[in-house]
Amino acid sequence: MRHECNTCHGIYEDVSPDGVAYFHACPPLTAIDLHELLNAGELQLDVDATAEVLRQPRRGEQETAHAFTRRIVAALADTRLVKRAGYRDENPARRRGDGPRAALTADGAGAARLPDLAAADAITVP
Amino acid sequence: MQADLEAALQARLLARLTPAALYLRAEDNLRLTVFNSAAGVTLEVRTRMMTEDGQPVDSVDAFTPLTTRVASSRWIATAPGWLLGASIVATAGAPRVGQCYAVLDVVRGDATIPIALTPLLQGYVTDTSRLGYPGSPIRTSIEGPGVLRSITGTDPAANAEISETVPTNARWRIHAIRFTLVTDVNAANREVALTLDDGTLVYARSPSRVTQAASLTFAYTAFFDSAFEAVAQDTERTIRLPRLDMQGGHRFSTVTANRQVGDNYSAPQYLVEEWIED
Repeated sequence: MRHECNTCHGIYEDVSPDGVAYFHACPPLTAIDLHELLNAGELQLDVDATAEVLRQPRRGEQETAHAFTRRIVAALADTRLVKRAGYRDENPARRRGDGPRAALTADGAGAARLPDLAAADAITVP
Repeated sequence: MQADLEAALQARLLARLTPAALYLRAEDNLRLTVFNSAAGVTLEVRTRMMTEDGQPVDSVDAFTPLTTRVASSRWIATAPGWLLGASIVATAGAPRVGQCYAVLDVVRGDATIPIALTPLLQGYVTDTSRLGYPGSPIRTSIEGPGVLRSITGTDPAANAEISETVPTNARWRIHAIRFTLVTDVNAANREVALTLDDGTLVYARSPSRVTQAASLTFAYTAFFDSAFEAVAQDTERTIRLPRLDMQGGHRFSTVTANRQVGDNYSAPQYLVEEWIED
């Protein structure tokens, strides 16, 4: 069955052609995504705390607060996985010790069922 | 009473004719645990026992494992006596090496809290090969070649990156990845890179080392032995892929420098070698 993720709007089949289940997971945010969110005022960083971790002083250079924030965002996105709000991961959650196993790693905003496409057969030229 | 004793002695002597005969006490039983990704699989555990009164007993227990690679198990009650042989057979479905990993243990106790005592069988069961005790070696799930799978990933929305995650309890060795990128009309030189992470931290990044301008469609293929190349008249691009094994939860993603709002990736098609790994 085809689905559309309500969080990232990616489209996928939940079963691969070989019959094996496919587990969708939303893509992480990149530096460009984070910059867009920053510019839209939808992302706020605790700059002091982040800078403490990622501080790389540039010798003899005055950096504006905006440029400093952008550099931190780029460094974050380049080295770490930054999950989006409502992140969905359909993989079965890994069990911790003997505890119960959740059905999905992260439900996120769910997924919507799409109409099935006709099977993609090989094209035969008459 | 005398007849019972004689029968027990005879059973003991007969069992000794089979060196691998394993004595099971009244509180001992068998447990089948399966990690499976293939659809429509049914396994059968077939055993031959000799009871304490000398009676040979054959039994067959069927089990349908989950298809999510997480463990599913069946507890199999046995009578006290000697286990002469056991086998695990796939009677439905077509699992291949790398897809249906089965473990048969002697356990003490009932189904609620069994204590595993002795592994009898451990390895992949396919539609053409079975596991048999005695005889089959105890194998880990990552020995030998895995199953080759060609997978269609998620087709991302415009202005989003490709990202594919290694499923829980799987191990992947990626052999090739192919996708296209359609750039919108905004002027900018995009540069595509592949990045690999462990679910939290990035551990590898491989750039395409070519740029893609506005209003173009390029196809990218990543594979082990690719050389970086940029052919002016061609729309095929290659990305060098490091030879790495990736555990469940790891992922590969694209990262696009100068990505514009209307840039659109196709669903990736990729070839992986896959094993079960809990």
